[in-house]
Amino acid sequence: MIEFLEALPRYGFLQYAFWAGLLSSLSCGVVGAYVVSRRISYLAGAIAHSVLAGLGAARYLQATRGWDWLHPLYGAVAAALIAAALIGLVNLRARQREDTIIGAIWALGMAVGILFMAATPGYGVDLMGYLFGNILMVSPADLWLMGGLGVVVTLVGLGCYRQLLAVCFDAEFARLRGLAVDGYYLLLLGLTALTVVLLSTVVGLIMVIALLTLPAAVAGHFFGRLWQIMAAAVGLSALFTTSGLALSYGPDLPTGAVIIVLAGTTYLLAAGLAWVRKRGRAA
Amino acid sequence: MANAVEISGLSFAYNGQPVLEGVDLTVPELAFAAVVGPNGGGKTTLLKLLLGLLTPQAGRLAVLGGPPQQVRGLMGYMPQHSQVDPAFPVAVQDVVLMGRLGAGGHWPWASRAERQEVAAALERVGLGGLAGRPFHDLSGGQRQRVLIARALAGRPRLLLMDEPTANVDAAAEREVFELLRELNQEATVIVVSHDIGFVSPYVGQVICVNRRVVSHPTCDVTGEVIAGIYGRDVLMVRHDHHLGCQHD
Repeated sequence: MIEFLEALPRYGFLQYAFWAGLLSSLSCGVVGAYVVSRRISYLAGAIAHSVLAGLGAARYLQATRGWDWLHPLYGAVAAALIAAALIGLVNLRARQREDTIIGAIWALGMAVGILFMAATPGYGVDLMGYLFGNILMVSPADLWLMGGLGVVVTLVGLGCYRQLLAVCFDAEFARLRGLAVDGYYLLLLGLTALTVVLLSTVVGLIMVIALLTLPAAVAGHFFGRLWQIMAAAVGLSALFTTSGLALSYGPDLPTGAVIIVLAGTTYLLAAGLAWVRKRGRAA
Repeated sequence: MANAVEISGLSFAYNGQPVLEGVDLTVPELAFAAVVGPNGGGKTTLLKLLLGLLTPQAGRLAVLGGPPQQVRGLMGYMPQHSQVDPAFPVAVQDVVLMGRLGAGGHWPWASRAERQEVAAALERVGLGGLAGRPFHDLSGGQRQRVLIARALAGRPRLLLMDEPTANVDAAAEREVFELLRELNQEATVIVVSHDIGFVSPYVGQVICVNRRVVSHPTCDVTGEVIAGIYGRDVLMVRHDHHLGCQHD
């Protein structure tokens, strides 16, 4: 911890990691609250795994075609949005097939990503970084991209609060009140996709669902309104990422894993506390 | 007086399976009508046709003088209890505010006029003090009343309620129907119910739905009529609250 505080002002990469954690916490809290209350975290999981296909494709094209401008994050964003659109359209058209398409996209995304990486010359790259995150590798260019993405997602997520709340709570009623329910549902999936990409740079795409949902789930034990959960989840997410970074730095532990252990432990404690309180009230 | 609902020769099928056939139905404005019938008989389908969520394959359907999709703003709808996630993190006032959607308010927060409208709707259903409470902290009966308040917040001329008293106890059920009777002063009320014996003291018109639709004034509903609709004898328990139950 002390080592981290001493190193933070000295090393650029630590500062970038610090900012990346804070930036992604904004959209993590806002979108995570929607995802948890609408109960679509498994869907976010499928989107997360499909991200690998985009990362792999972008790396492959960079290496073979010399498209240096094609930042892997662009590929990730494209893959996540395509996955979100596919899942959303299937869900809207044929509700009962949702779990099948989620499973398919989950595995297909991984498979395509691995194939691209295998085909990329000079491979040896950061498959592990993509899967388990490497926040210490965030570059200033990444940071700008992440910042832009995070700000857009957060503003849209907050700006459409009333509509998204209505669609998440009771879509049929919202439709009767003249709301473009399908459009807002797809918008929510799109925001989820972008947030998943952001968070995957922090903890990697395997553990993304945990970072997306756990802060909002913890907050849900203590607050009864969605915007309160959002605010608390932003704070918790910032706390988990920052303290995970600080705790992992000294002993040189994988940062993503430390962040998730912190978030998961806090969630279990909060769930236990809520259970005890409920029993206390009932008795 | 004009009619709130006018249906003639209407048929509807799900994937080729006929659900409603040859429906002719008139509900006058300011009527209080109950839609009854066996499960799977088409009650909810009829309601969804009135709401314009489904489109009939044949026949004519007018609600408040127009096609349903065009008069949705004048309809207040309360879905079946099971459709709403009771654990959803939302305050009572935010639920009621959803009844104002489509009425102009698009900011993430509620305007003062909207807050007043919400408070008035909650007051009418007797939940004036609970505006800021989480929806999931309420009892089943209170949640039903919040959903009624949401339907009221749009100032509807036609209230459509799908099993408004499912999952509530008998006392709460009676409160809900007393409230609906009061609201019936200003709006037509159509209630889907599984319990014809309970609703009969309140409603003036009973719409029996079992693929075909037969409408009766309540006073004509006899055991034979019910047996005809359900296809068997039904044990009917009639509670007459105005004569029998002085103590409540």
